[in-house]
Amino acid sequence: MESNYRKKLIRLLTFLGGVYFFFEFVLPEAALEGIGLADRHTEISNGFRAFGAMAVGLGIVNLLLVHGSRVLMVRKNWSYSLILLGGLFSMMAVASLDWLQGERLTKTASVYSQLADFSAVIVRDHEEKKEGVLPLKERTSYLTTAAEAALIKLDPHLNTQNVNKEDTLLSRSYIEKISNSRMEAGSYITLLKGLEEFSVEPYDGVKKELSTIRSELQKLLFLKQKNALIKKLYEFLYQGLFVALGSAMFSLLAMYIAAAAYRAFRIKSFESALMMGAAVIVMLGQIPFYAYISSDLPFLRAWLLEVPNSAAFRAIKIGASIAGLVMAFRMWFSIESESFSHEEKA
Amino acid sequence: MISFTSLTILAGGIATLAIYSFLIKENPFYRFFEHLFIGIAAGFIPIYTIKGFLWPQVLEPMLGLDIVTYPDGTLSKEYSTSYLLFLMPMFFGLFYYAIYFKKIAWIAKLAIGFALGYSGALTFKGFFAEMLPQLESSFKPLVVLGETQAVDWGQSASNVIFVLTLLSVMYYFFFTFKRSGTGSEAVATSGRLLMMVCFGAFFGSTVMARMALLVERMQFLLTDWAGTLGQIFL
Repeated sequence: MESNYRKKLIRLLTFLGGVYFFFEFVLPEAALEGIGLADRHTEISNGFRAFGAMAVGLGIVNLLLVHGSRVLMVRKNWSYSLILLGGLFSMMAVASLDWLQGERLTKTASVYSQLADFSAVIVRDHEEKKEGVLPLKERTSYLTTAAEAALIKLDPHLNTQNVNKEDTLLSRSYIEKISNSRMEAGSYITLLKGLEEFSVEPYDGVKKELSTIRSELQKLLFLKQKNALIKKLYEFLYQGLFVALGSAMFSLLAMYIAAAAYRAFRIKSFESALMMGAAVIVMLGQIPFYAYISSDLPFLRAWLLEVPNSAAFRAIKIGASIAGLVMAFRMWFSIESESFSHEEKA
Repeated sequence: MISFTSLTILAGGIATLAIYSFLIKENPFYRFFEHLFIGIAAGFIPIYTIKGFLWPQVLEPMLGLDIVTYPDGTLSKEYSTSYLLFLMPMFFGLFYYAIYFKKIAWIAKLAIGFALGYSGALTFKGFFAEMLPQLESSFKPLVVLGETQAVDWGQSASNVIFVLTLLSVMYYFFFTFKRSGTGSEAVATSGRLLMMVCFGAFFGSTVMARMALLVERMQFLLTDWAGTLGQIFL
């Protein structure tokens, strides 16, 4: 009885899971706007993604259960499990710290973009005659005071300290741009202070220069961050190990494909000859030596890939997609899920 | 004193050689780096998910951390309590973890079912949004006119071959009724032959893609890695 109730509940939730995206696709835009879903689509999609993102910990829990128990019980190959867990935790720790450091730098630079936004907001509110906000002069005074303080705070950053030798020139160009924008922003602030009648120009000027300062400062701070210990550790794990190991793993496949083709590929029929011919043309057309064979090889290669290959692959894809569509419906209506929803036998 | 950059290059070279050592036979050197790779990759993905999606798209707006207080005390935008609704899917997402507790393991099936349901609906949406335009664009004009209104024979021939390949390959997989007659057999056979060309081209480009990675690794070993080794030891 209980099992039956669970089955029904699982089927109901499976169906409900697909309702939103189905109707979001089949209903016209006007109908979605009428029920207020059109404006909320990003948030609703993010809700679904957030639900999916919660599963990200499953992998870690599984690794911990499998490899953690192997280490604790000192089972066979426990040392490899220890290495795996070491890699897992060190990457998590270093990537988190690197992210936090990046966030801190972004926060330092975003002060300037926030003030730029404030300048635009003052103009917008004044033009729209918005009520419930301070008078224009008072808001402008707040803007100029905060902007002046922010410009002074730039001083400790405008140097090439902690910048790598090879990045010195680049950092100097950022510093120059920041200094120029700082000077320009200063003169606009002076204009704003003495402004008798409202004019958009100095507000736009402050907005533009502060936005430039923000983007250039962020670039400069990220150059300086390159020398921080966390960044170096992250580069070591990411570039030195993750990228290198990934590339090596995938390139290993080149050897196996070649070896497997050598062992199993025999031109015994017209079909296999066609396949081999196409493969050889595509491979030869991609290497610099093609000129020694025929200068038309790259063209022939491109034609093979764009015409017969693309058409045949598309036909296969269309067939597979129709089958996928049928499967998707069967999954959505829980027709396909008998084995999934029935209770495990004791 | 070895710099961090040199250390990174050295580690990259050793890791590459360790993976290639598998070509001789499976050995502890390979297994060490294989496990390290799995660990690092598994550690990178959750932080990437949080950094790229959960924090900026869900947690920041939900906690109101994306709202800026301007110098005059006004706010860049009003806090919307509707963001708190994100707690519902996040809580529901925790149902996945019920799989680790035998008594309530069935609850995980609710979350898995829900995920299957919405991925099913997304497949439906994806089919009509992506496949139908592709299908429409596949039927190219069989006679192409050039700029001078003269027939572009090369392009026309390519388009004819494209459409014939598409139709004959689709026909080859059409099993609803039994093929009879030499005409239908000939279409199906040409479909099979053209598929062989497709597989050959696909095989060739896959090999070349892997080869490009191999060449990049070899370049790295022979220039960056050997250069760094030379700087340290010579």
